[in-house]
Amino acid sequence: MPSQQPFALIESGAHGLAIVAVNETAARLGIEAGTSLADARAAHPDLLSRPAEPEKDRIALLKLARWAGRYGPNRHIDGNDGLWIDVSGVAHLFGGEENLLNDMTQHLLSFGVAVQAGLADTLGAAHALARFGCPPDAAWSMAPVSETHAAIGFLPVEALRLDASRILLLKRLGLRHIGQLYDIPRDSLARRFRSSDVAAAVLVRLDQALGAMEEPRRPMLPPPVLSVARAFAEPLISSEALEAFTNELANELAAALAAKDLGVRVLRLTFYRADGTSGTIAAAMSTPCHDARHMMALLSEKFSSIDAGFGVDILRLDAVRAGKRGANQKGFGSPQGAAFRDPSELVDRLVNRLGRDAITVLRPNGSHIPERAEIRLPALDVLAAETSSRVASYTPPWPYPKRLLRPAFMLSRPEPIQVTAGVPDGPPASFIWRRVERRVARAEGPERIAPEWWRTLYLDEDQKRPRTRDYYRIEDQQGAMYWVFRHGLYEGEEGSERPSWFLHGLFA
Amino acid sequence: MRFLLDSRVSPAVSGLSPDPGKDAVKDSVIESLRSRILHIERHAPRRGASAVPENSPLPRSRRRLRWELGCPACDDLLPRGLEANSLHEIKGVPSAIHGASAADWMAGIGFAARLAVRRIDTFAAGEEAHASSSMAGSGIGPWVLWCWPRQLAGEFGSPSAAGLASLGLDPSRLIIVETARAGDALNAIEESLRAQSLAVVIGIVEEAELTPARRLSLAAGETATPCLLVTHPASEPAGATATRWRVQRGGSAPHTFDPRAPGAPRFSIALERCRARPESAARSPMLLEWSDETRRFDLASIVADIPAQARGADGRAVPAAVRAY
Repeated sequence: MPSQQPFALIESGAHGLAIVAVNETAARLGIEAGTSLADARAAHPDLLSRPAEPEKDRIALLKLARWAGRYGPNRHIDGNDGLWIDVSGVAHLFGGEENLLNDMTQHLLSFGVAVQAGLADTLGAAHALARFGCPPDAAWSMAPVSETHAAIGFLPVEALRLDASRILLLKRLGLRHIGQLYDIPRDSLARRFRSSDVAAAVLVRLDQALGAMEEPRRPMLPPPVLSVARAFAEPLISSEALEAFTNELANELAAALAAKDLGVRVLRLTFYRADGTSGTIAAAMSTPCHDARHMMALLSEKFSSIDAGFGVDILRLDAVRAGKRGANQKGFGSPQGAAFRDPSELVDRLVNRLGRDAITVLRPNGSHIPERAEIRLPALDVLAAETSSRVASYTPPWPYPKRLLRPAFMLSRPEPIQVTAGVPDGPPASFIWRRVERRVARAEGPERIAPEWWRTLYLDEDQKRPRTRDYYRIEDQQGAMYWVFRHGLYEGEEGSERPSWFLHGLFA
Repeated sequence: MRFLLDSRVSPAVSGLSPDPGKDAVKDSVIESLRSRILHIERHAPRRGASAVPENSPLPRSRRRLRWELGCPACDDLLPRGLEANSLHEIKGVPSAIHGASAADWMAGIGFAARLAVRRIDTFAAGEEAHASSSMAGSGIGPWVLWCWPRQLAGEFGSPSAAGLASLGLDPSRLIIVETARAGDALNAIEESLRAQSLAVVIGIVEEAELTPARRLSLAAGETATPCLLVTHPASEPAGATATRWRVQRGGSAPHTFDPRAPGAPRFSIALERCRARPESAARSPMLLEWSDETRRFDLASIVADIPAQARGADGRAVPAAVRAY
């Protein structure tokens, strides 16, 4: 797009196509957002236009917000064309607030983004400065610390983020600048407006801009518990350098965590590349950890997936979630305490490599139906829950007797088998499973497992009723042992469907 | 093993004089060289001597470097019992030339699981602690890791807590790792062996080639965490293992109370490879019986089979009808 050509983005409105945004050349010619395209074309026949794509704009703005994380972890988009970034305690990394603003505006200009920035003590004041306070020859304006009153006093009342109707009212009252509002006693200001909520709205916005009232805001991502960052004058490209600096950050974070008696549960390394893109790698821990060595062990496995691109100029390491590191008693006189390390570090490493659902542990579940009596849960979550419950490594006991003979492997879904068996409750004499016939040498059973009666209470007439299972432990002539069941009884059960046989488990 | 004593090793060795002082030096040099070679081969010193040097990073309580099956006839095959710092491969007997049935796998897995029970018991007994066998279910025992690729899990189903408890393992202290690929499983096993958090690692894979097997063996040696590797019954055996067992399921022992019911499981065991005592590998297979009560293997007594023969004549009524479905 030639930049000297006047250009506008259009949208179909109530009165035909209307202009929603213009480029600099068009603005200089006097074309304004809000006029209809036909009118503008009449005055400037060379005006180019394109339909506006607000959805894409929003995505681009979110991308920009992600990039802006390099200037502070808490940030979000503001309206359709703004970003706010909380830079509390960050400016020193860039050598002061002016340098930070210069750095940011230069970066944005180099991306081809027109930018106006404002920096102030409050979000309201920064908003006012960015949108109404930028001098024409500069890309930013800044209110020095605790000089907000003076800095925004000369700005028009539009800067206060009020409805157009309220702005109009203020102007009718002769209040054109924010500074004029300072001197009016609050009670008399309220009296000048007809309704009290208009007055309240104005006062709230004023107080928010001046910092007299807290303004809650939600950042794009939940703010990390702790965060350490490092900016580099020369972008880093080699993975060795990245790893070395990440190690430094990990040590720093570990020290900060230890000072607060916290341990990190979710760790995130964000790297901001010189070309404005960013990437992250994350790791989760099953127990709160403040050991830099372990953090690095988890992160370094993923280093190979980092694409440094044109170089990384900022690295940030966040403790996204953290937990209290309680003293963990190893058990009263438990001999294993000293012999084995806690398996949580191993679980973290395996989860890091294979994914959360690949590492599981078995836990009891409230049912007596064999496939529901136990449940496999991600080890990461279970170990976390069991270590955080202050009772040292206590796990609830299993609900069945220890000597119950059950198969070591339970098929994920019982497989139908063809069986020759005595009626009504004889064990199988032979069966065909996976297309091979096996002759039964010995059998034990039946062990009857009734369905859960509470599931049958509210069944409709036409719904299938769960059936009784009679389990047999059988051994074939090769010595292999199986767990099979007959689903249903021959007599005495409602629904006279013939029973069928299933193989449910393999004994090891 | 043959090795050359080069005179350059030490001037003391090259001396030919019958000076008794020099002989003593010579003996000590040879002794130190032997121990170095033993160390290189990761064989612990001979029976009775401390297996791990005093400056080992392992805590004293971990220095139980061997465990046994509990059956003297079988344990005599192994000079030092099963070494904890090694890789042990267990294979079933393939029922077909190229394939193996679930039953063939189960024999190997069952044997491995019971070796793991022995390992945990030996460990607990060595800690002279709170009862050995009562540990199951109490949630204070050492952790065991079970690792296999998802494809095998799809074939056999998932390890069941109730079943593992009836084998003698504590299901609440078991970590199950299921990987998408076989290579990942070997990596995960190696990582687990290095962690020093586990009493034993049970790995079930199709096949381990020489390099991964060697890596597992070294990882096991570093932390004295034994690895029981169950591999496909028909695949090539892995190299670099301390022992290799060929296991087949025998018909179970007669049940104490019910002649028609399966009793204690029996395994036909052949030691195919034994690095520490190669001559043991040639022995014929033996039939071992596992007891859930004593939690150890024993030689199966054939004489005890006699009551089982009376099974047909128990006078039980023949079922009224036999139907096929």
